[in-house]
Amino acid sequence: MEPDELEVAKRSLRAFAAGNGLGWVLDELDEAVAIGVVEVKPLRQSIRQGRQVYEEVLSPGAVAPGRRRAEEFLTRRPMTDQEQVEALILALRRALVDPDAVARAAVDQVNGLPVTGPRGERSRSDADGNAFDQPSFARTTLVTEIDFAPDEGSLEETVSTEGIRYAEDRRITVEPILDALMAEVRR
Amino acid sequence: MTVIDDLLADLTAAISGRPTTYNTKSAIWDVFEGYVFGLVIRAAVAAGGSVIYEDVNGNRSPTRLTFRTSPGMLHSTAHAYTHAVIDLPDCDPLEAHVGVRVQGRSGVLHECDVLVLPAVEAALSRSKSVAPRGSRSLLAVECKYYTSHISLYLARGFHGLHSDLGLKHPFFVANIRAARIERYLSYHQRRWENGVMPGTSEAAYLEGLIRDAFKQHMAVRGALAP
Repeated sequence: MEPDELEVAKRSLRAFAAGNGLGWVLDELDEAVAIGVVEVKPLRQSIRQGRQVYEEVLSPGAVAPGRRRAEEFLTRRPMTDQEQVEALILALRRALVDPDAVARAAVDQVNGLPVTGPRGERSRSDADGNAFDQPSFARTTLVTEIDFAPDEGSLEETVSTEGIRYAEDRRITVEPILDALMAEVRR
Repeated sequence: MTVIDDLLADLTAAISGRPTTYNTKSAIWDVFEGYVFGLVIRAAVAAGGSVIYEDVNGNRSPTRLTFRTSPGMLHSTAHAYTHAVIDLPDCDPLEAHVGVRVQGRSGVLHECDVLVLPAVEAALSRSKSVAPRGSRSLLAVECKYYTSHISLYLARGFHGLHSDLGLKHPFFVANIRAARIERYLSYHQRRWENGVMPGTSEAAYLEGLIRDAFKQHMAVRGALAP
């Protein structure tokens, strides 16, 4: 993409995010842009004409006999427009697509687990620690959804895994659009 | 109209039926905490344990689990908040909670996204309406779900938090990789697993790390073989 096209794409993507309740995604990205990309610069100390100097090392692995090993210094560079736009599309995926999988897994993985006996009754195990085959542990957990409800003093709204999971067909629609956006900015 | 504009129009249409509540950062954080809670429960089972869900009123096996949207007191009855009772072989029962406040050694309250503590400490919290003590707790997980960037102050906060809580097994867990965070936490010998998402190797590694914590607990607190 040409620089002017990239600038237009960045504006459009930011407007989309701001208009769909995803301003927090932009805030997070802006913080990353402000910090920039941290890079390592290896410098080697040496003495020249009686003065201590540091010179940049292009191949830090190779140390000539009698030379000091290079020391790593940190530097930063600004994030390019290309990097910013790609990071924003990736961030939209993490906001719009990935939570679906997280919500599904959150419910799935707390299901079908061996159930504890009555409170205070310790589980019994054989010499190999196999507690599950005993009759009292034949039952398994059954969970349909997880709700998240605000505690006293909290102003947040109740949400549930039921609501955060996309209908499968909607997820199937969103993911290819994000893929197409990424392909378009990389062309 | 550019191709980008066309695609964004499609994307707007595709997400239009979704309540904006679910586009918020806190909603996604909540569900990520719920996901990590599940990994902790699975790790306990992998260590040989069994589990039952129970709410703050003592009702057992709810089919819908209820967790807090933001950290609260373990004894709160604002909702029928759920926890898991974990029964490890030959050990006193443990409980796993989501989003609770814990007392640090300095005498201030901290927040733990996922906390595992002895059931007796949790019962004390409920009966006396006090926060559980971090120093009596077994394991805590700090859960971070971010879309592009994790600030370094979160790792600094985690390090400071667990210097004060003094529990045995603190873990920092995030959905994305963050080299600076990993370098900082490794330098300070804090355990972390980043890139944890359903189906990833990192999720399996985290489950393994937590299973090790349960194994160590069983070795120290379980009955000695005759």
